[in-house]
Amino acid sequence: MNNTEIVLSVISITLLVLLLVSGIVVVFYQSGRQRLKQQIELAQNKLNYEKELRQVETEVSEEIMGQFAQELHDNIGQLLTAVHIQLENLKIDHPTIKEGFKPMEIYLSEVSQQLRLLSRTLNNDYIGHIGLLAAIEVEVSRIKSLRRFDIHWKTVSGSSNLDKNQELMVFRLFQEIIQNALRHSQAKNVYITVNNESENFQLKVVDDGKGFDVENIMQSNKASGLRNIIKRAKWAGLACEINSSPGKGCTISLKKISAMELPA
Amino acid sequence: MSIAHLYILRIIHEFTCITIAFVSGLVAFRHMNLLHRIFFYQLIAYFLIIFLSYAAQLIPNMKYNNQWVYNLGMPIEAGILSWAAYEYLKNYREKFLIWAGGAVFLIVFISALILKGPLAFSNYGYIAEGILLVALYLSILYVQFANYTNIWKRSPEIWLGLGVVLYFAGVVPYFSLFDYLLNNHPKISLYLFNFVTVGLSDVRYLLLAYGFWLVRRNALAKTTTVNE
Repeated sequence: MNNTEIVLSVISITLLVLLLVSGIVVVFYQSGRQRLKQQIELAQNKLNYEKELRQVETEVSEEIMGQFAQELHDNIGQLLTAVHIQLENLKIDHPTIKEGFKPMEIYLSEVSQQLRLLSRTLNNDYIGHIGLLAAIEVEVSRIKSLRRFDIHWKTVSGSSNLDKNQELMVFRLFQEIIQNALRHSQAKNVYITVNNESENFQLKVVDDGKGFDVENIMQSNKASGLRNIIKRAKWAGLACEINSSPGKGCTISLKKISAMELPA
Repeated sequence: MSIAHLYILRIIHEFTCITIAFVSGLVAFRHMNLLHRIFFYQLIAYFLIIFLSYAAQLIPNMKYNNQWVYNLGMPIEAGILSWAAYEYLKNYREKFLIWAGGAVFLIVFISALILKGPLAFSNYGYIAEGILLVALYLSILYVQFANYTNIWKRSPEIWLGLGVVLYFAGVVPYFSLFDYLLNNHPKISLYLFNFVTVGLSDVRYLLLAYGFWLVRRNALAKTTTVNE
């Protein structure tokens, strides 16, 4: 073997080994890519499954609420009308104690009014028909009549680009936020702002109640309601932000996530 | 090209590549995690060994023999790079591979030292070290590609590991024939050493420099994002 042959042999073997190692590295890269692709597909399937599950849940709960609204309107409403007629008859039969029926009459008409509003806000067809802003307004009047706190209501009207499902979800979330404020906040004032402009839809509910430590509450098992709000908002393509601290009230805002902000 | 020219050229590009890696490492040092720092320590150790290998040729009555310096540096290099792999690999089986591979390397290395004497280069020890480190760093590359597939270009571990794998896989054929070449064709041995080993060493330390540069770049990019 001459010198050139030795040099060429060593260099060829070295190149061959380097080629082999490079091949192994490329295989690792390809297998990593394949695994990543599978993980993405798996995550996408899981996301779709959860989305469908949420959709079915929403449809079922809307159906139940619709039936409940129908029952309130058709049965309880009719019974209240019968009580009202009975009361009118009693007034005619006993004109001397007519004035004594006055408080009962006021309560009865208040109950009828509340029931009508409640049955409307539970009916998704009604909400779809009158639109989000009007539906929120109906709910605001219903809550106002409870006289638990003062409601300050402000809107920037326009035509939001929320679809029907999103509008319904915003309304249901709004109801849940208000219910939370009623139950836990001990607030004196609640400020509701709705910006309904096309790309900037935002609903903001601010209260001056006792507030809470968001981080602590979210880590505890007391936040299932709040977690549910965030989760449902996310599924409807809305960003939910909760800001609060003890003694400083609470601010919850729902904002439509623009297409650019959506994860790929 | 004469041997003298080749020798001077080797000194120039060898020190240039090490200096580039050293400066890059020094600039990125405060952003480094333990794994990256171990690579930096290995670079310093390598620099000292190279410096010593040139200095050893000036020792009188040694006939320019500096092979014992490489024998001295071999367990240090294997130890530091295995330590880095030990820090990175979390799996019990992989940690076992490090201990078992390390034990095999030491047996081969010490056996070769006893058989050939401490002044002759323990090429079989170096081959054992090469095989061990190629296996370990291929495992690191596998884990890294599996977990960071989409950001592999920005991952310092990929480039640091690739340098080690390419160098040790590439030098194994030459060092397998080292004794034969040194005894029968010393000039070719020297030529191949300068061409293959030092060439691959340059690639390794340039990749090391790139890895260190990525460490700094990634850290600064993270800070910028936070500030924004």
